Amino acid sequence: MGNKLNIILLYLIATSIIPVWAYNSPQEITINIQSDGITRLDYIFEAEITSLQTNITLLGDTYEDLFIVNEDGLPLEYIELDDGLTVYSLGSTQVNLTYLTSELTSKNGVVWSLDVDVPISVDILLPIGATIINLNEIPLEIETIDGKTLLVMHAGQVTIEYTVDILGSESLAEYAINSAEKALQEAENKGAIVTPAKDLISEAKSLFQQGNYLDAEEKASQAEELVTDIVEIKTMAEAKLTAADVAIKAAKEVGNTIGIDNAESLLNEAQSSYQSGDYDQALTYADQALEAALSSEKENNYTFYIVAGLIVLASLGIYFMTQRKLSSEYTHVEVEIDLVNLFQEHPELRMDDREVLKYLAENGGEAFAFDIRERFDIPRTSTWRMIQRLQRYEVVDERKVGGQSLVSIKEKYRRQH
Amino acid sequence: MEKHLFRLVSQSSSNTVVIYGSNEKKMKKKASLILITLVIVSMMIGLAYAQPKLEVSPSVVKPGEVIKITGQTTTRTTVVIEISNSRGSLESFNITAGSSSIYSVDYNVPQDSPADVYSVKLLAGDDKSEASFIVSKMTSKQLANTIRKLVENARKQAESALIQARKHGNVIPQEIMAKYRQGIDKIENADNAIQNNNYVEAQQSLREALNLFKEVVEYSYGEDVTPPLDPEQDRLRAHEMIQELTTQYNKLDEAVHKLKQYGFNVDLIERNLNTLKTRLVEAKMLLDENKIPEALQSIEQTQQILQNRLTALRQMQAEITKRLAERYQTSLENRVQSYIDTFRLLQSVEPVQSTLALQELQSLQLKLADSSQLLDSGKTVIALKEMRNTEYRLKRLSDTVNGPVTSQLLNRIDELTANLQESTGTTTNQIEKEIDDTRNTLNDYLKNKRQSSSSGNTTLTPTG
Repeated sequence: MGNKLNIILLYLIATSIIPVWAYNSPQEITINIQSDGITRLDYIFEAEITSLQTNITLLGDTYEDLFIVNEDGLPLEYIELDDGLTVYSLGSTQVNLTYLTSELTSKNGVVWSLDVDVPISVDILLPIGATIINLNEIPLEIETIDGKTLLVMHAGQVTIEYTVDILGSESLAEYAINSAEKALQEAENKGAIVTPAKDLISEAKSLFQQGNYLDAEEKASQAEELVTDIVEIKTMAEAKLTAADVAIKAAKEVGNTIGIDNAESLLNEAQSSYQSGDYDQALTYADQALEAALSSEKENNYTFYIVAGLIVLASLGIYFMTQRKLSSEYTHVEVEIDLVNLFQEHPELRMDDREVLKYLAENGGEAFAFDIRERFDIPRTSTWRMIQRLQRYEVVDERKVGGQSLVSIKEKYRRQH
Repeated sequence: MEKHLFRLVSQSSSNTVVIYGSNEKKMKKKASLILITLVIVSMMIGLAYAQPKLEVSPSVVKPGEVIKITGQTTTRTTVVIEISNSRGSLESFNITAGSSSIYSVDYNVPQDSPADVYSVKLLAGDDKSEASFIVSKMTSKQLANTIRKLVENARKQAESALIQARKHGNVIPQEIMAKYRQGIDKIENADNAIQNNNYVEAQQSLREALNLFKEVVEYSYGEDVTPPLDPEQDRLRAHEMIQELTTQYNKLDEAVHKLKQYGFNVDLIERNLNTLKTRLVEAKMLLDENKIPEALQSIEQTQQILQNRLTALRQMQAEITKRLAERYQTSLENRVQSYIDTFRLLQSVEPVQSTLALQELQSLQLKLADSSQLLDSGKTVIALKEMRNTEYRLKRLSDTVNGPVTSQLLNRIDELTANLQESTGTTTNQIEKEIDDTRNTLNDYLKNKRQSSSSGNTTLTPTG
């Protein structure tokens, strides 16, 4: 304190100039944009040590968390004016000022925009995860600091447009390739032959290596769809093969001979195609074999048709039971969900999370993961991540029902009837 | 020589006269027009040649490097060079041209020069010329390559938008796909330009590419097509907020530390700052443990505490100013009293001037009483203004004393009085002794002066 005052007094003694009011020009301005558009501005002004006050104009009309210190970090008093501030800086050589404002940025769709007219060249720090998509001027310097892009821009009008947190095509392609590979691995574990999908994934990887992410993502998505289709057709072919086999055996048992050879031949063809991974063809042959077995005859024997029909229905039933909701294992209970309370307790939930929770609430508080996928048209991996995230927030539980993932809103948010 | 992009650097323009039409009837009219144009162009060229020439090289420099300023004057041999940037004027110097009116000077760009566009103005009487250069840590090549990376990311955003639109089942119009492809072509153009060291063209192409990709992004994300968000976004946000809070905490901590040093009671704020620090550490730990919602919750609480502390500090700022003002008031009171003591001592040797000075000092004492009252009533700023005025009049008192020795001794007494306020123990005694000694020296000096000058024409004139 003593030294400080001495400096003030010595300077005051050394000069006889009465200080006058004048707006000071900043020496440094740093604009630090947060991901929600709120901007922290840091100014450095030079101050006359003998001047009672430093007058300052700020960027943005409204501000909060204003914090003003001198070169030693000593807080300085200030008053707010219509067009800026008066800082009582007597004895200071520098005024350092920090404040937050939300007036410099705006958002249109997914595009954020910073528009500001700066009196000097400025440092602009973009939020983490920002991608610049437009600049009105080429910067003087660009670098990356702690994951943020720093641009040094000329004095004058500065316009920077950017997006935040949107994955680029490279990431999307990478996710798509990883997701397709995972689906492919699962299919192979189930014994499916998925060679065409493998080829597509190889193509996707090659395109990715070439930097063609747009096509790489498309190929990888196609590969995953193909894997899903292959597994589905394989399952159908399996069911049809079983049905045809049972029908042929039943036909033989009842002594049918006409058409049985043809049915058996078709069944062999179907099995052969199935073994080679041509599940489409296997399904076609198995269909034909089943039809041939059902059409086989020796004499009019209605018992045979009834027995065969029951066997076929039972076989198809097995297929549908494995594919669908397995109602024997799953009992749906009507409940009311307290979404208002849930959302209040979890303000951090994202819009898409909230949409899914609304959907679950509309469905009595629970739904299968594949239903969520279909309803919101989102990839399997995204659904999985979302469920993981909601579990982390402790708003949902996940359990397996008939091999399928059932997602339920937690008990505490339920009001059971 | 490196070229840099955009405004102010090596600006040049070209005028092109284009004559349309083939109607012979109008030929005469056109010929006249051409003639007039030629005359105007000749006049402009003549005027251009009359201007002193100015060139700076290179156009882009790093801090610490040297800029060569060269040119040719018209008639005058000495010219003024002024260098400025957006922060204001930096330097001004005269240079003298040689026998052929050619001048050349090296300007060392200071190491601490901020990145900016720097203007060089040449003034030769009424004639003037202007050129500019850029100070940047990056060369044009580095800048072009960095922007190339930014544009690559913009391309990925455009592609991402196209993927989302496609997934949503939207058919992308040919026009939008054409813009996307044009953007890719522009990147290729930029790559070629970089290869050929044509950075101006490269940067222009890259900026055009950015614009094209922006249009693709804006088109593709409609009301129904949502962007694919980074699954790590919550973590990134938490990380960003912790960074921001840490910066603010450090500033606050520094301010509180400084206040403590200055003797202010900051115990409460300090305790709260410790809570703030604990919260920040807790938020960081939660983030490291991947407990993002908990981390975000902790961050929110930390923000609230920080805001409260800023408000508390704001309330203290008035107290700080008041405390400084009170010390300033005491210092002025001591100095005025010291002057009074000095002039009372000098009354026997300089009765008239000392009386005038004492009258002025009594008036200043009244002013100080006013400012003291203002301070007591909480009108700190008005009190400070009053004190500044008193300070000014006090300074004039010693400045207007006839003779450098007298003035110097009075100033020395004033300086010692100011130091006296901050001193303790033996130092106080030493200063007090020095003040007495200086007063006696001044007294002796004036006595000797009076004795040596029978006319006694000293003009010790205080001002009111």
